Amino acid sequence: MTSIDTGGNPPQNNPQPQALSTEPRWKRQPFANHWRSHAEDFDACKIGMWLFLTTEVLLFAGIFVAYAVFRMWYPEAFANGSHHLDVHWGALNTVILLISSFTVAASIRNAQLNQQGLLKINLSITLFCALLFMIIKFTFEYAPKWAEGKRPGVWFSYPFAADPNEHIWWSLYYSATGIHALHVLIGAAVLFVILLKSFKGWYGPKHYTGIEVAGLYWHLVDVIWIFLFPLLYLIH
Amino acid sequence: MADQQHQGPAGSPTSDKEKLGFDPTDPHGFHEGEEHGHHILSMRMLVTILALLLLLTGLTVGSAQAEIVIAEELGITIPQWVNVAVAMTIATIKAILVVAFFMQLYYDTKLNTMILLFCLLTFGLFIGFTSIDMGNRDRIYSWKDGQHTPGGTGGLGLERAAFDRDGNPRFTAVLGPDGEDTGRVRRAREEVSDAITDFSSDPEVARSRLSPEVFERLQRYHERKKAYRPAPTPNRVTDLSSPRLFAPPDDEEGDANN
Amino acid sequence: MSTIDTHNAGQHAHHEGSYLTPHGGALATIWNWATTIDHKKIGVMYLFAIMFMFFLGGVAALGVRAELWEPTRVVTQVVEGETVTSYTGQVLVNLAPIVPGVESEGGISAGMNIYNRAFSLHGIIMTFMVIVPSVPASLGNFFLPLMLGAKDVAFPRLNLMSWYIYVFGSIFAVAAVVMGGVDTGWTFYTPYSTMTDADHLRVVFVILAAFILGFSSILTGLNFIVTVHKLRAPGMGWFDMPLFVWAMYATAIIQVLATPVIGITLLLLIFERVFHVGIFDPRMGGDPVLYQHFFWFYSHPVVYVMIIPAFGIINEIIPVHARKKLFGYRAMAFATLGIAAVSFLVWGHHMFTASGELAAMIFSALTFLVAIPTAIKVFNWVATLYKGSIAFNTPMLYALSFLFMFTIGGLTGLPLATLATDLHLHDSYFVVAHFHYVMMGGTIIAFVGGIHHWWPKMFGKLYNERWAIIGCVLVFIGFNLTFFTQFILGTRGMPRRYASYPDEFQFLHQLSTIGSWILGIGFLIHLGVFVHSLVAGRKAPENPWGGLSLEWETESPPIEHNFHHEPIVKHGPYDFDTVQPPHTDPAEFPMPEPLRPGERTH
Repeated sequence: MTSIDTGGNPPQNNPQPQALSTEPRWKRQPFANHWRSHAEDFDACKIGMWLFLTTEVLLFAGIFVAYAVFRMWYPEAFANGSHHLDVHWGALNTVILLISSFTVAASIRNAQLNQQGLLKINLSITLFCALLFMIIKFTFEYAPKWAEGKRPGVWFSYPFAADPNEHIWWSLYYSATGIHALHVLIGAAVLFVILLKSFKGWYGPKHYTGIEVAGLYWHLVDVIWIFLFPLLYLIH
Repeated sequence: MADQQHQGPAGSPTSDKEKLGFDPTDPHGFHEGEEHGHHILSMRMLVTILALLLLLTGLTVGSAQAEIVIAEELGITIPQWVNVAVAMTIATIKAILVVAFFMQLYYDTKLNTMILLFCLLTFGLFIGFTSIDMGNRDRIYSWKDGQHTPGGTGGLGLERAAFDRDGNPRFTAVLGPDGEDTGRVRRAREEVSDAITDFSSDPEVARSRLSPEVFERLQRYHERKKAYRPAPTPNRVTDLSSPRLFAPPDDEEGDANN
Repeated sequence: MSTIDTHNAGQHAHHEGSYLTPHGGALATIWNWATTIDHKKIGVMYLFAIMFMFFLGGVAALGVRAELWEPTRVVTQVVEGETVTSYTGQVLVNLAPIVPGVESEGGISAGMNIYNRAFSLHGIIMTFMVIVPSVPASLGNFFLPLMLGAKDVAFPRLNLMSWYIYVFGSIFAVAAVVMGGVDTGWTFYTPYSTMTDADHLRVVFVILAAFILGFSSILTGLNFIVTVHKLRAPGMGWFDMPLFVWAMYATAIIQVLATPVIGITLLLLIFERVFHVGIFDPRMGGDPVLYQHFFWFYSHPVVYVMIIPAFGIINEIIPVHARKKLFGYRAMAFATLGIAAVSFLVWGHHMFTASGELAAMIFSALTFLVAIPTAIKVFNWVATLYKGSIAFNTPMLYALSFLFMFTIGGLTGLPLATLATDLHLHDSYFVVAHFHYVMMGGTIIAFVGGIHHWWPKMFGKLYNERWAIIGCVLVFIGFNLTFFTQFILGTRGMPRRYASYPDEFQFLHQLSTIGSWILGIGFLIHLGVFVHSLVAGRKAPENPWGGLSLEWETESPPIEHNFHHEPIVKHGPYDFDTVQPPHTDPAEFPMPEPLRPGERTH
């Protein structure tokens, strides 16, 4: 390859895969040829991810606005509905997500320090936490409530409701937690790919864009839950 | 001109830097001074943050429980905003911890903080303006309480058409659809306004002047108006006939306002 | 040129052809385009996809206008002792055999049903599939990196993904049309969108299509923001960027901040329609006005996603074709950002008759703010034209039509922003005419002007100037005939979205319909001009108009990596008074003569 094909990239900064095949995988990752350096590529990916997180926050903004409006209108329905949620499961899920956030942050540190073994362990714990979160959500929260008739909208058939608008509360509860659970699943899927790649040695010092970006996404899922938890479980 | 605008073949960064006056790998000086992107958090820091987060989770659950206990055992009514304020303050602190340290925004470029702040600003606009409308609608409409009566505009239209807010008759000069003064329209409306005036002062006079159908309609309208009391809070459940829908336990409350 | 540069240029000419150079056989070329991550190819693919959707939406519009040629009336006659019922003015009812879902409805309702579907189809396609992506996704994708001196956008693979998402979403919408279309209007207001065609999936399909298209829009916006921040050529500060780039940047900010809200809105709408969760249903304690807030929180800012790129194009066309430095560069840049900021404060003006009075008053006051940055722009364009050497070629004619029609569109916004007059004009043809003057007279006109401005650069071919000008004039006449009449109809009380009307409106309606035919012929001529140019156009020089921004420095069409070397920016994009444009002959594009003492250019 001539220097021309890399254009403005100083070629010595952009490793050529075939030339350095004995190096670990992360050292052999070239950056896309429209960037000037690895650092630029990494920075841009982070800015891009923050912009994407912006869109995620504003997606949930719709749910929060609907929550605010209907809570303003039907405080009784919301207080009653909230009492039907079990704060213990909610708190446990909060703790699980916080721990998973910690392990993701730790796994980035591991990549930065080239601790390949710990990196895989931390990522695996994160995935396990995601699994636990989903299991608790479905078996201990959704399933019993649905069976009792605490359902959204027209499906609502709980006989002991004390307020005529409680189905609105359940609509918002299922919409908010459902969309959040979907994000947990997406985040877990991304982290699973990251874990598989980490077994092939894709991440190392200064070459951990994927893990950093996926981690940002996972933390955001956590932050959303940090707000959903008190709003759904802790109001009277 | 051309050779001023073209960079020579890529050489070593230092020689380029001298020749061009800037670093070709970083022409805008984004990385001058420090490397933003690669801050390594210490393990102690990470554990401290996690511990703080767990502590705050306990605190928010505890305070919510404490409020229930205080309210039930001691009989003190805590205003609702206290509960919301405490829960949201703790949640915000937790979120800041996660964003600043786990997501490393504290060590990151300012641009990413700006992005987040713009996002929150947009969120604030969204929730703020929507609440202004959705939250104030009933209060605004209650200014018109005196003018609104239930049951559509049937009775209301008659009265509103005839009188202004102070009770003075409106139609001294009525214009027709094409702008000309049509005596027919004016006379019809004056008749209605007179009838309503008569009815409220002396129903018997009105009975003698009006046809039985019109008199009956006026009577019904006045009865409905007497029975109406404006609802202090909006009651938005109207159709409970669907079998799947939940029916409220005390039907009287619900029906009175419908 | 130095020896080294010549040597390298020679090597490039050998190694690197234009981005349009075919790779192997036909199949290999198609595969190459389908998997390309080159922003230029993606921009071209977007351009053709958008043109196709524009054609579909345009056909629907012609159908709507045809139906309005005569008011729909029931005519009862007694013929030989039997009462015979017939209808006048039913044009679209002829489509009944091929439109699923209306066969069973006889007579007048079938025709009106198809009319409702036609205008919904027109609105949905033109908004979500044409105007929103039009400029940013096609011209923006192609020229943003070129103007910045970059090799590509920041995330080329996301860029390709956004094109596929666009195509996927459009397929959903077209599938819904094939299944019989929807009659919700483009706004999907509840309860139309939750209750009509209850047994059919097509409304869900269209909502899903809009949802999917939102992702495409977000990815484009995200890409552009990062590109502008990270990939500017050396020497290009923020205030050395062409204003088209500024416009793309402001657009991208709106796209990123507003589009997710339509995502959640449409998601909740699907929940509402399919699962009846009740949050938009007043029978269950929900509120349809909440839906309107959600919808317009996205859709109002998106109005500026549609128009700001048009400003960007006009900012490029006017200085280049008037050969004069742009008046008030910084004011233009800040006005662009200002419009983007204000766009988030005014969505309530779509709901003056639905929302509470307090909110309506606040929104009305804020809406007038939009006039300030917009007026700054219009005045600056006019000041730029003053004493410029204006070339009356197709792009410039389009820019001038833009100035004329956008100004009308903007000024007619003021009575709509005023609460008292809006009560009369709300949901009338006045509104229809107003937003067509802005969206079509503004965005589409600038878009077509921009295509003509950059066509030689994109495809390396010149087009037939004479026919392009004929097309441009026809579009101008047809557009004004179609929509100016609608201002008059609106003030007289013609409500939008009705298939029938009182007889006294017929003359104006017929004028409007004739205008739509002229408009259609104008666009067909442009299509012919483009096809002719691609097939038999003369080769275009690198810089046919004497432009100064970076895209004119590379070849026509650009080489695969855009530039032989990363360009270094030494002058502003509009310094026509001090810099000879690249690849131009000073005899053809002379520098302006020095000013006489006391003379001013503006």
